[in-house]
Amino acid sequence: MTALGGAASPVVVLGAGAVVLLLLDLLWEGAQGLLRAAALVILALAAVAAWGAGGAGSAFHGAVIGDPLLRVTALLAIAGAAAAVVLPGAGAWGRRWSAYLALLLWSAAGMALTGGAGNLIVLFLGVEILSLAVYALTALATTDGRAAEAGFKYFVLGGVGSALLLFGSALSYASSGSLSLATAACGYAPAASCAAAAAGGIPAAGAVHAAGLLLIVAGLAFKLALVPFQLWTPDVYEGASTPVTTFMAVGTKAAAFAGLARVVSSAFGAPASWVAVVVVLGVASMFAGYLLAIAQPGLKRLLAFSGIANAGTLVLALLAPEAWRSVAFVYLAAYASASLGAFAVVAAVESGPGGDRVAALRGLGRRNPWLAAVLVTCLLSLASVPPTGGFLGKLLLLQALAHAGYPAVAVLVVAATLVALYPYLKLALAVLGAPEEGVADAPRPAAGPAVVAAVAMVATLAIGIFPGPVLHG
Amino acid sequence: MLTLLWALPAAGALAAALAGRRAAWLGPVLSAVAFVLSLALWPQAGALTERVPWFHGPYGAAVTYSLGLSGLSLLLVAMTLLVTALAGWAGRGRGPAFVAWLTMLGAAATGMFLARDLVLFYLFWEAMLVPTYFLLAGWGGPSRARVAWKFLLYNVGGSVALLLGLAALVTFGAAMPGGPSGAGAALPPAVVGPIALALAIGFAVKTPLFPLHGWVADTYAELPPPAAALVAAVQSKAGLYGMLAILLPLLPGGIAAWAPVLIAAGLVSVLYGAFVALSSDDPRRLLAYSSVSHLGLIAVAFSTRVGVAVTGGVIALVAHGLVTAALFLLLGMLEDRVGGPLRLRDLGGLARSAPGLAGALTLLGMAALGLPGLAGFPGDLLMLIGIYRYSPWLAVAAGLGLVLSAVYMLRVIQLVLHGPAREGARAAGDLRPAERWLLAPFALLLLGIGVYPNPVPALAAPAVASATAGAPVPAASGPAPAASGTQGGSAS
Repeated sequence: MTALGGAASPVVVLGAGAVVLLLLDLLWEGAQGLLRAAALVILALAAVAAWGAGGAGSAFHGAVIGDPLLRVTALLAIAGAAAAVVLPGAGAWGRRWSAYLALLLWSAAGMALTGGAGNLIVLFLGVEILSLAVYALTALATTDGRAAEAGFKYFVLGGVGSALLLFGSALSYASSGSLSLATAACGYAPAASCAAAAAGGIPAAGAVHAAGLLLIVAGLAFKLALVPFQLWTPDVYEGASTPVTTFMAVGTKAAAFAGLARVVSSAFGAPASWVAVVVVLGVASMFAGYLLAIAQPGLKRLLAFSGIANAGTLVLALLAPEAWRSVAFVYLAAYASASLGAFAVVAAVESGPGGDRVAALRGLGRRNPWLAAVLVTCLLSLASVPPTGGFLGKLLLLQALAHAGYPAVAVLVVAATLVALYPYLKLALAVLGAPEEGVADAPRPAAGPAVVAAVAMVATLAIGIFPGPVLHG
Repeated sequence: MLTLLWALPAAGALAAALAGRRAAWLGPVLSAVAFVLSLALWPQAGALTERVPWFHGPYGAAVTYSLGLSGLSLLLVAMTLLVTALAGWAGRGRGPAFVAWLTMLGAAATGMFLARDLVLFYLFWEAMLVPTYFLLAGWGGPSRARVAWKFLLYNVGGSVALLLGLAALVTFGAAMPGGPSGAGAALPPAVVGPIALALAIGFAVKTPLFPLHGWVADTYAELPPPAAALVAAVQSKAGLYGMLAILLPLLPGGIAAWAPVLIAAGLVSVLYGAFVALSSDDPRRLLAYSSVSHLGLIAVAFSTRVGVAVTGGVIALVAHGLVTAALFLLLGMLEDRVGGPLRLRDLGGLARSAPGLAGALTLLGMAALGLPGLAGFPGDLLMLIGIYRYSPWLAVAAGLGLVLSAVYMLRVIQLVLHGPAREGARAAGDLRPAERWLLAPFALLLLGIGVYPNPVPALAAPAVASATAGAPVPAASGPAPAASGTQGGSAS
């Protein structure tokens, strides 16, 4: 049962499911409804598998680790993929609709694999599977020139990130003789897992090992869009079709964070220089993201910068040696559901006049109160206002930082939250305010965005009010 | 049972919001039902709690949904619900959405006064912001957009400071006094000062105290009077309640360190508010600054941590809430007659043309300036006695504020009621019966508390005791009569 019932089962289900979809397309050519339903069934099966995999222990001799981190990552990737299946906007794929679905599932498989990575090879495999599929999803979506440009940009910069990750892995292996992530950071902290590594004759960390770890972190920071590796993000978010952006915002973030967490979580508790890397990445992303979000003219770009800032905030949770899991689960789930809701609103309004421009959203509350309620709830969650999940995530993060002995970082997080209130609240108030003259009524949202929006809103509130299940993965 | 106290008005608000005009009466009526319920719970004050486990974070004690009805809570909850019901009734004409937001604000404030868990307290605290914002943005005056932003920036800034303090408290294992897990663990001495400062900033913005008061005058001036009645009477009490129920009992060391700053801020508020009120021609701004002045005095009284002063502060809290709410409602009635915001100079001679209205204004004005026999007096007196024990000079300065409050209130009464009748005043008819009924409960309560204030200090005694525990006894004090000693029997 190691393969199908074990830790790797969500990866297997998603990967094999994509092949099944391609075969179905050969049998019943162009049956979009059937393919959509089949994709949703496969995702549901994968979700069941992911739930079980969360407690399955490790598989393939520790290469894949089945713990709550894998469960949360895989479930978020699946949720993002399901939203991307349901949301409209992939129409431009036309005849290649099955390819779109298959790429989504493969990418989700890569995300799940990254979330459960137990050694450097699996980590790299997972990151590459998810990235290659997303490059294709971004670039091939439409005949729109922006999409091609975004895809190319993403491909080049993402390729650099992958190269850094691979080179770093090589250096780390060369210096330590081990590929295991549990011991990758040994020599930097007296973690329990490192005692075994030391017994196995792994030499203490030297300069080469440090450089390797630094490169791995940099490579993952590319995927997570942390400052200063974030340059691709706003253009790609804007250029890709909305379902793909949704999927990226939710799944890639979760997976890249999980990978980063697996690498560095064992390295904490000791030297200040190593902590500094995370603090600098996190704090810079937080402030840059929120400050740049203020001036964005469109909702998708605003959400891109919000994603950068949230990733930065989330990374700071890794400073708390024991508690980072609970904090990260709540924070990630809250961020993901708020992003899902906001992107669903984008998908619902972008076909109207003005697209996702902030000016076109003005007065949405009068024209479409339900959609406006979803958007405002999600924006409030991103701004960490109670009783949403975003608030609870922030609260837990502050507690963890205070308890782990980084009160100054906690104060910085609060300062960044204050900055964040401005863009989010400004938009929320514009949505609720009076409509601008001459803006036509928003079209009635199709069933897809309406369902995603409703689910996301309920989830955003539920995480804030009943966080019990999420807290412990 | 306790949940009903805030859930009833919240349900009324939802009904008004969803069902529209036909259900708008549900908001105030359900608030009134909750008010009656809160009175029925009086005998059980101090003993009634509710607790449901909520979630357990990685640090600190488990977060619970805990409500508790201490005597102090009962006083403030009953006042909140009464004002919500009457202000909601008075604001019915502005539409169901107005009633819904107003009642929602009352529900959030009620929950905040009942909460016995720090996280829950913060949730209700934040929940008060949203309705107030929408009341401002939707029904405010001509510059409402700017003022609503200002309100939001000040209050959200204060909330973030409060959040930082509360999160630190929870992390270090502290729990809300009177809550299920008692006072919790002792805090490391190094964090006490910063946490106390963060909480004090959060509470000072809401109260508001002097350097953080920038939002209050504009907000009251833009809000329609029924909403201003609720915001001024209830929401401003949140900060002082927080000081009394969280800051003083949990962080006595921190408050001792910051007391000079708090007292200075309060004293400046007292004098500055009084002087601005003295020169104001806009009755809404006048009420705003008189609130700053009065609440500043209460903050000074709380900061001294002298038992008598704190007891007086609680009485003054209730009295100020009732007086301010009634004055704003009365102002709303006057504005309805004139058809818009009014200036004091445009009025005059109302005593002859509208004797009922003149009587009501005189009564409320006298209560506000602390005439013996009305609710303002016992609180002011006890506060001054207590502050005198702390420092005689401070009492002189604070007393000056009270003198000034008499001056500006008498100026209002003189301008509005006496002198030659002006254009605006002649058109105004007297109070209608419905309006009389609306003001009658306030008048009765103000008289009642003025003549027989004992139940208030008796109810507040436990809160006062825990807030002043461990406070240094000032050298000047004689045998301090415990606030609860003489009045203990009157509660039951």
